[in-house]
Amino acid sequence: MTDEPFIPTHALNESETVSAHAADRMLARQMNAQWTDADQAELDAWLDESTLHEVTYWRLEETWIRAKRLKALHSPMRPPPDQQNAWKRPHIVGATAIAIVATVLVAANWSSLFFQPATKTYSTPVGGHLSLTLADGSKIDLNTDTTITVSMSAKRRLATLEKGEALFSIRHDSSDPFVAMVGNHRVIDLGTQFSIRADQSRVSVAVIEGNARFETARQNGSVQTTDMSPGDVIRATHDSMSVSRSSPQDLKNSVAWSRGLLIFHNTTFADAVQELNRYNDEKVVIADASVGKLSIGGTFYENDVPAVLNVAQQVFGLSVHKRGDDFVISR
Amino acid sequence: MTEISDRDRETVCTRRQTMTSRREEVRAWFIQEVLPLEMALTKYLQANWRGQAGIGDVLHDVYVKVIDAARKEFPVSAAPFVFTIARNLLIDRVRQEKVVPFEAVENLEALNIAADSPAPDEQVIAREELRRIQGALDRLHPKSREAFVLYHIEGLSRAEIAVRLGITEHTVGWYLNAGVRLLADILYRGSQDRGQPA
Repeated sequence: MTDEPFIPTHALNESETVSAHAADRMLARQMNAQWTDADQAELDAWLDESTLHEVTYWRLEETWIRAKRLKALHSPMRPPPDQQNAWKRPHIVGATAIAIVATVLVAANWSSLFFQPATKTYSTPVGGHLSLTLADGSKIDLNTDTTITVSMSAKRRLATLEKGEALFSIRHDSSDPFVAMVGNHRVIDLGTQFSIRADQSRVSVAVIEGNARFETARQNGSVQTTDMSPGDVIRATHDSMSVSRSSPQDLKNSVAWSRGLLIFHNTTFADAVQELNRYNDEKVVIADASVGKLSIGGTFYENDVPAVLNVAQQVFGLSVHKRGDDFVISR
Repeated sequence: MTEISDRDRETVCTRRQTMTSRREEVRAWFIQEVLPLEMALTKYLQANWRGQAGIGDVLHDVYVKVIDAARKEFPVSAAPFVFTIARNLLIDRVRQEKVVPFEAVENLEALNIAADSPAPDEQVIAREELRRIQGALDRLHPKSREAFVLYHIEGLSRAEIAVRLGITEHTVGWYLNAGVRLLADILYRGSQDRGQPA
């Protein structure tokens, strides 16, 4: 194939000219792994020149970041080849659109207690998101790297979080409370929006709206019950728990992931990087403990690793090196 | 000695961080609150603007005024704020260009519609978002679309895309440049034009 020279079909007007320049700079910034301080200084100078430059750049940058979500289509969770044909769509992009939502039928242990509930397991890959709407209108948003089993029947509404994080927006029915299980704990909704996050051995539950009841099954067979109201955050391990309160704003920020955002406010750099790494295959590594203690604030896209590296370089004056798939930050 | 320079550096960092975080705040506000209004705003401008300049230029003017104002203080509610600025700007422009009777911009139902319309969908479902982007991609120039797919889905570099498509790296840059601009128009402005690289 020969190279086709790119000839604009018409003269660019003023706004198109600015857009074209902004797009050039944005693409250079986003696609250049060897971005230097000098490059950044040049970009900053151009952005500082006028609000028009800045706003045009932001708009295109946001478009590019949204397009990054297409990466979810390149997922290890795509169905086996023979199934792929059945899913084929007219376009190459469409072909795997549904593959990010790999659903597997699983018969969970307790399902035999009830008659044939519709039980399904849903998973997201690293960086993935999934929003489930249940038959009763309730909603469950799955965050990155999450697995949940949902069982709906006429008698019971149950979800078991195997790993990861989920935001539950539950349509309340007092005769049939929604129950979310995680490890040896249960959260029973009393008309509510709440989030549950399961790390290695730690579970945290935050109630955003309404009320919920938190129950822990003890080794000796007893059940410890804690009633939760909006703002309550419970952190529990297998055999311990603590309750704290968060401001509505902090809570809202903590579930910003359901909009694809990470919001930091006086967060240590170490914590921020740990959060960011949940969403990306290319990990950020902090080489120096004193760097981890720096405090950072701002709104980031979960998959926008360059933005965080940029803060490290430009704001904190740190250096960033690529090591394998990882980015190492040091003084 | 070391201690002093460290402290100096921290002071500088704090100052720079304040500047950067304000810019970040304005950027985040623009992306979350203003960009989702672009489609309604474009319709409003199309319905009320008869001047010489293209809608794109007028829209840019509105954005500049909105951002300059937001730098000082964020409005309580973005939609009425943005549409009021748009209306005032149309009136100013009409006075300057003297091309249309003043009544042309007095029809402000669009303002009310936009102010009352539900807040931008906060919980855009990931799948819906993917479909929307895919739908937009389908309307790009085939080369732009291929370049996007190879970069974002296949993870190829610019150089690798050039080899795959049999064009120069420079031309890949052009297709991505034209592609991202049109993609922005389709996603935010609801532009119906089929992709012609421009």
